[in-house]
Amino acid sequence: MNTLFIKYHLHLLALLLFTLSAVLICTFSLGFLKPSGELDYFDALGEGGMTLITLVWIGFILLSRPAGRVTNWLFSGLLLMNISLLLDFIDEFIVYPENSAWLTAIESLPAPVGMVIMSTALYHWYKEQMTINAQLRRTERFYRDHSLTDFITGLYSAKYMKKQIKYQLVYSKNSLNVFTLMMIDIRQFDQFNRVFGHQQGDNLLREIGQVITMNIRDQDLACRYASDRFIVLLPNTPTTLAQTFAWHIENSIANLAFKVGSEQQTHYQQVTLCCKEFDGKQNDYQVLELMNQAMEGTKNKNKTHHSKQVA
Amino acid sequence: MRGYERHDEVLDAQQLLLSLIDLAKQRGAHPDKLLKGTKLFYSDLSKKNLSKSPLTCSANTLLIVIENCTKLVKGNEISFLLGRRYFPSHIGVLGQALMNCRHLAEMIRVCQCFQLNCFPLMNLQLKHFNNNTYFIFQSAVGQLSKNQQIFITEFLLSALLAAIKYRCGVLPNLNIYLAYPEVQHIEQYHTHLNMKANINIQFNQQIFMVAIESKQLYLPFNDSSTSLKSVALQQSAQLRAKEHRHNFIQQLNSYLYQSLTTQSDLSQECCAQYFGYSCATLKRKLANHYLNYQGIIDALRSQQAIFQLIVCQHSNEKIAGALYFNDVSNFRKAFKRWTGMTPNTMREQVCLN
Repeated sequence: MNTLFIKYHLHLLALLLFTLSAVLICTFSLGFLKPSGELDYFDALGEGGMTLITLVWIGFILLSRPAGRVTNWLFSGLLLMNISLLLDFIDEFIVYPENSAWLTAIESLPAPVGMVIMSTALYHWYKEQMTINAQLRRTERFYRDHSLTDFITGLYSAKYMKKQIKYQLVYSKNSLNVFTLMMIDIRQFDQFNRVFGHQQGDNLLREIGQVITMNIRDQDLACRYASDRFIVLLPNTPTTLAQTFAWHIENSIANLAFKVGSEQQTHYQQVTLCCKEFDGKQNDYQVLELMNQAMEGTKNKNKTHHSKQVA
Repeated sequence: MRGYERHDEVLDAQQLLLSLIDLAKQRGAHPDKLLKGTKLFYSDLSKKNLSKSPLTCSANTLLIVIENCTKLVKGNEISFLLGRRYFPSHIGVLGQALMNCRHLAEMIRVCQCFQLNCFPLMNLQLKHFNNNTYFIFQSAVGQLSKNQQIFITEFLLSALLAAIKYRCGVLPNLNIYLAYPEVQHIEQYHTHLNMKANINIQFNQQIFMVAIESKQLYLPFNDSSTSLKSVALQQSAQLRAKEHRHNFIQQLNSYLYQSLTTQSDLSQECCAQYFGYSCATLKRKLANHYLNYQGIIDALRSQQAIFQLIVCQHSNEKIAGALYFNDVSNFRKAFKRWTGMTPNTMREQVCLN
């Protein structure tokens, strides 16, 4: 389990411990234990279970969210609900003397307040999620599956792209709209890895992935293919238009001033691009095969082109 | 001379293990979870080794880590990345020797002589036919799981191709036959192994084999030095233990291969006697490798049959004769039992490709 976020929540954890121990001390010092004959175990089990589950929820909130306003609200709402439930639970074991009966009177008070705070928090969580969704557009299409993301670049992996190509092929066949796939290959990536190490190679991949997503439209989808290759799906787009986008991407990457660690020197990268139009007559496997052949063709053409320039 | 076995702790694989674990770690897996079942901890591997003898591990340890890795890490690129980095830095002084070989054939020869240092999990066998050379690879440590087989094959292929590309400058045309059916992550084969460009890869061939034009093996490298090579080889030989030069499975295979060709006694008793074991010990050793005696003989014969079928393109009669079957129908039945398809189906499959 990733416990990275916990260290930003130490104050919240302290607050949690303090509140719970305060409640426990308060109740136990004011009341007396019930005789065992009067205990209703069934009730105690249910209320104890609810208390425990809200505690688990608090734990998950702290584990999964960075520090911030929404997290604080979620936490305080849940904590207030937890206090109510805990008081209710302890009630099963303890009787209070006449002069401390106010404790039973206020025990249900924190819960509604907590629920109101929780609702506000959830509303803001929704807002926050909308913002994150907006950041994710161009890297995601209609469907979310975190198990298909590529760990290095944060884009989706080839497996996700294959699924999307499958849908797109069916759609294109029915609607007679063509779509274009674009493949982007970093030139001399092996050499970059050899000189600067694989960690830096991974960083370069991540940044190039970001540059690609910046240069495509909202309906397009960019994924990492494999190794130093990226693949972009451009729905309802003929090759001619895709070529223009390809030119944009090539230019932006050529101008990406990548710096290794804290060094001052910049390293500019060249990429090889190829676009191919599909109309839904092929299957997904053939599509990928054709893309790879197109890529090899472009690479060979570039090689002869460059050697001519040298001559 | 005793050969190494699956559970012998003789592999100097600390570097390989560490780089595998580091790669997996960068992709979000926990190092100690990767090492689960090996009785090793990440801190054991990465701490400075003060004793003179290097940290060794068994082939089984390596296989467990590979299995864990395929289960814990999403994406299937680790085997390829590891393979691309393997040559020449991960094999110590032997890498020096390999870097100074005159041509590919010599590199292959060195690899065969120093199998334990070079690649302990697979055996390499060479066959020649019609101006082509065929590298046939086989597990050196017994039965592998599906995941392990795919991982090791991918690793070996990318290491081999990276080495060839590094030394020759360009990749020659290669034909690769793989034993397992086509995988989901075909994109990795496209990019890392240049599939569909000058590397032709065929899946589901029941044999792991790489074919190369024989003349490619003898194209001289520009920067090789015989003297540096012999020094490096001497150093490697000094480091190499007297025992464990080859592996038990390889010894067993070559013994059985000879018995098959000379048609001598193939019984388990005879084999145990040859190796100086009792019959029960031999059985136990095979069980350690998840193998059985008849299975090994079948695998050997099926390998010969497949080679003659898809490479030499011999007729059923000829293959049946070469493998000492009494008649063709017996051969067809046996072939179906070994590979799950009849010889003719396999032939058609080859023609289609």
